Amino acid sequence: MSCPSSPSQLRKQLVAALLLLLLLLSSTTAVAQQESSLFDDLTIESSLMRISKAELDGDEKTPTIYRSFMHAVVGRGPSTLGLLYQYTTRGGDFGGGDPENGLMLTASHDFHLNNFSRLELNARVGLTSTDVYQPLFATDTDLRANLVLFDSVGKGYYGGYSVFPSAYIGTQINSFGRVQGLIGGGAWWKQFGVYLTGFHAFNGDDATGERINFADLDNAGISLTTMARLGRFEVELKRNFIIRNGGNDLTFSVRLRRPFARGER
Amino acid sequence: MRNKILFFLLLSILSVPAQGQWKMLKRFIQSDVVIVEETKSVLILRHPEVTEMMVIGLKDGVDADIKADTAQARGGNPYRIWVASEKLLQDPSKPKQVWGRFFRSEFLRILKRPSGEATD
Repeated sequence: MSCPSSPSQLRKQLVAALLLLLLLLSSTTAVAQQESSLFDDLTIESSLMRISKAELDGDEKTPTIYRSFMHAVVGRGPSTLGLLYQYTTRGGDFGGGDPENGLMLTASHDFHLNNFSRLELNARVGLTSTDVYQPLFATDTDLRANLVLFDSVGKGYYGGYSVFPSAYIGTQINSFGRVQGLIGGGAWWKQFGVYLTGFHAFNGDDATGERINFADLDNAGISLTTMARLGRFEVELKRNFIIRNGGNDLTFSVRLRRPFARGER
Repeated sequence: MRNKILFFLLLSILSVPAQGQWKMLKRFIQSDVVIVEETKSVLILRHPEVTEMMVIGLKDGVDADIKADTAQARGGNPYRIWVASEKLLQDPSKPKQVWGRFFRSEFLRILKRPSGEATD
């Protein structure tokens, strides 16, 4: 069995993943361009997450987990449809086993309720994935709903720009039946945003068994997200701070959005 | 205590009174500009050195030089933008150097054309 944390093996696997992803993205882009009368925009998102510290049933672990994904999304009005390729390697306390990869179908819809609230629905469905050695699954199947309260006019004025605050409350249920609640708030200023979110599972595995299923952990924590919009690019840095069960992961994401002729203003 | 903080946070976000809609815009107006009329849907401004007045509207039905609109990036929240009318932008008798004197430079930087592009 190959060692996923071997540098040469990891490099080969990353190159293979990148090539597959480029194929996926180029075909998606081509279709989207041909159908530009059908779609408003195309978003390409790339993300890398690292977990170097985890807590399971009170025990601190030191894994070396890298999870990356590439996500191609087409949007029309308030709806989106996308394909997400995810790739994970493990080392440290959760080492051993082949890298995992999988493909998910994603969809979202944004219900604009009134001038100060909207309801976001997001869904992911796992299509194909490799067998998993330890259930750090390559795909997830879940449904998320967030009620977002926002101030479109702006609440403050600093350095020549308005500040736009928002607050949100939501829930997520996945294919294991685990239900999570979340509550948070944030603000945008100029092209920068910061969000603080608390999350809490209402059920799930207590992480005491032999097989630890990360997607079914009875967990709780806080995440801090910072974002910046730079032209058509959006970069995001997210840090999880675990209170109960899970990983203190750090995620860096880059998004590129291309509006089509009938696209957003 | 946490519930109280959350309650006041939500209340603060939701409590934008109609007249308060002008609060942010007023920060962009030059100090020598006089507010002639202020209603829920219209703000009329006069500059001591400009003959014609500036009409700013919040609703579509108002024949305004500048109107409020809403923009939204995918995945983000809607936010207010200000859009100059074609009439204001294309009137040769009123170049931007004249009507621009009503506002601070920050406002002229964020002001949009009807097409969504910057006016600069």
